[in-house]
Amino acid sequence: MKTLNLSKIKYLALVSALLVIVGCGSSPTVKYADTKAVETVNTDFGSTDLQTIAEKMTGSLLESRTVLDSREPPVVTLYPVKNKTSDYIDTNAITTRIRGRLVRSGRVQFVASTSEMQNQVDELKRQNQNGLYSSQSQVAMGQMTGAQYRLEGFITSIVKQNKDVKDVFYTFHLTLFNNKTGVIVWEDEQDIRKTASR
Amino acid sequence: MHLNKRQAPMISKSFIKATVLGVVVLLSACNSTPTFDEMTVRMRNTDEVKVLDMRSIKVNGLMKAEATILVKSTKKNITYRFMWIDQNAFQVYGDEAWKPLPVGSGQSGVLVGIAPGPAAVNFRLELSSD
Repeated sequence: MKTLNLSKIKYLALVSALLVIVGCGSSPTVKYADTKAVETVNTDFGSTDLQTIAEKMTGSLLESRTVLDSREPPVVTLYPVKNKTSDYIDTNAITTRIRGRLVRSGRVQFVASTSEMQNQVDELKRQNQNGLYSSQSQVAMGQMTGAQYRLEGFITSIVKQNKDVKDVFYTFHLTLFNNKTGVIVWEDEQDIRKTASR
Repeated sequence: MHLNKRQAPMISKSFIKATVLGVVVLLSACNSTPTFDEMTVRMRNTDEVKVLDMRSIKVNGLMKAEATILVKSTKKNITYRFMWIDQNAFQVYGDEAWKPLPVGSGQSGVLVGIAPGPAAVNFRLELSSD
């Protein structure tokens, strides 16, 4: 009996050692994928959601009266988008992508956002306070452009789940405020529903 | 200037021929507007999606394209995107991201795209599946 147990233990140890060796030795296959492809790995917020939201929101804003009726591209600043979901979502990636598309359209101008303001102030101070720059090339203080509008938003999710199905409903909401009057001049939302089933 | 009377009918005939040819060329040019099928680029089998209508308009200098589609089945994951083309027939603004169809099985819906910039003057609807 004792001999049998020992042989079993030896056998198990050998198998375990082999598994560890094989596990350590095999590396995952890596390949480059299409960055534009639809990603359906799981129901978490993903690259397709990010790109879809950015495209839809940009299109909607470019069609708004605020943009259409402006002689000059309206000057907007970006506020952080609040993440009201239970997941970690880099909302800055969404808003930055929306801003990029709007800027490239040439129909909207953006000034430094709240999170970028410190760098802007630091640069102005650097040019004006250390005496290193010629007065001709020096950027004067007090010449920054104030934003006429500000873009704010949030993202929420509703998650429903049983043992076989998980349903996630994301809503991305964006609002454009007139900074002078406080009036909401544009608002839109983009819904995304993702379902995973066994 | 002295005119040869015998040559006069010959000149008229060739003039008429040239005029008719010109009109035919013009008419054929007018008929060169691509059909919905020609404006739809299908990658892999996307027969479940039928394009019913397409239209475009310039909004604030940016091209807005719409395509009305009918989805017969959603057994396959079908995706779409718009491709933007400039006046020289070159693609502009790179490839858009593929997006899942926002339409359920047996339903019709409208796919909307707005060109990222003013250079786009034409578009194609691209459809793909798993």
